[in-house]
This record gives sequence, structure tokens and C-alpha cells, in this order.
Amino acid sequence: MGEIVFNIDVMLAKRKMSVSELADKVGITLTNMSILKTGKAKAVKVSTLQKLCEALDCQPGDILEYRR
Amino acid sequence: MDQKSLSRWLKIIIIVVAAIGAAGDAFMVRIVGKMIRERYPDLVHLSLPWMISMWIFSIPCFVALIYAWKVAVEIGRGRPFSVPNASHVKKISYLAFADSVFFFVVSTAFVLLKLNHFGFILASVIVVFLGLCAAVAAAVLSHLILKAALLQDENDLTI
Repeated sequence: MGEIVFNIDVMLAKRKMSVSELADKVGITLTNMSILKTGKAKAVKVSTLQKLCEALDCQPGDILEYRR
Repeated sequence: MDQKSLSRWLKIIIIVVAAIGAAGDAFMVRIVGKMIRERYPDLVHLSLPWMISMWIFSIPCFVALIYAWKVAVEIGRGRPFSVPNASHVKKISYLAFADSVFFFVVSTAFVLLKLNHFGFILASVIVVFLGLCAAVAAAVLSHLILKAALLQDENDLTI
């Protein structure tokens, strides 16, 4: 079975933003950001995805990837 | 009451219960054994087996207290709903069931061997009934704790 991956690093580099800055803007802890980046998250709220897209000024497809 | 205080109280209660159980094993069993010898002189040969069976009956109770202690430790660490806790409570359920079965078998054997005082039979029925109730309650609680642990795990990993 495949997995959904959060490619946040690419967008962070494009927007010249640090992980901690992004975590502050989205309103989640660094620990939770790490869980998201490392693929350990079991679920993501739509509101969190919305805040991520708002903070990174991107579409959900820019940060989400399905890998087999 | 926060979880640390609850954990402390639970540990105190467990220590008190263990102390009472140990005192009961050390003194009460001997006193009742002596009573059996005095009131039923023809059943003197049964007083030692009865005392030994009571001591054996108390062993699972002390093991259950150890698991209860482990549950209290997990609660103190802020993890009341965890898979280890569910496992500990399940083991307490198995111990309660096994102890009830053992007590029923031993009591039946003693009744068949003519140690059939009405008070003894009544106490045996009550003890077996309470043991089985405790086993069922612990089994249900274990299942609920496991479900809650899985829900909490999923919730913790929901960003």
C-alpha cells in the first residue's frame, strides 16, 4: 500500500522560511511539524492543511504527494 | 485531582490492601484453622489443607496488586489509556477468574469432605460470585482502555 508524503521542505526553501516559522504561522508545535514531515501522522485536519497552504502560499497538491 | 495525585493515592491504597492481605494470611488464616480444629475435632486432618488452600488463594490476589501498581505507575506518567495498562487489567481479569475457579473447586471439595458449615458454604458462594464479578468488570475495563488507547494514539497523531 502507498503512502501520502508531505513535501514541506521544497516549499519552505522556495518561500525562504524556517520550519519553526511555519509551525508558528500554522499554530502547531515543532514536534507535530516533525511528525508531519516524517510521515508519522495518522490524520491531518483540513484546517491544518488550509493553514499550511495559506502560510506557504501554495496549493495542497504542491505539498502532498502519493508514493507507492 | 490530577493524575500524579491519583497515582499516589492508588499506590497508598494498594500498599494498605497488600498489608491487610498479608496480615490476613499471617494471622486470620491460622485463627480460622484453629477454630476448625476446635469445633470440628473429626475434621482436624482438613485444617492444614484448608489453610494451605487459603494461602494459595491469596497468591493471585497479590499478583493482581502488582499489576494494579503498574497501572498506577502508568497513570502517574500521564498515560492512563495505554496498551500496557489494558494488558495489565486483562491479566487482573484472568487472575480473578482463575482464583474464583480455584476457590470454587476447593470449597466444593471441602463440602464433599464434610466441612459443610452453613457459614462456610455461604462465604464460599459469595467469594466465588465476587471474584467472577471482578473478572468480568476487569475484562470489560481492559477492552475499554484498549479502545481508548487506540483512539488517543490516533488523536495524538492527528495534526
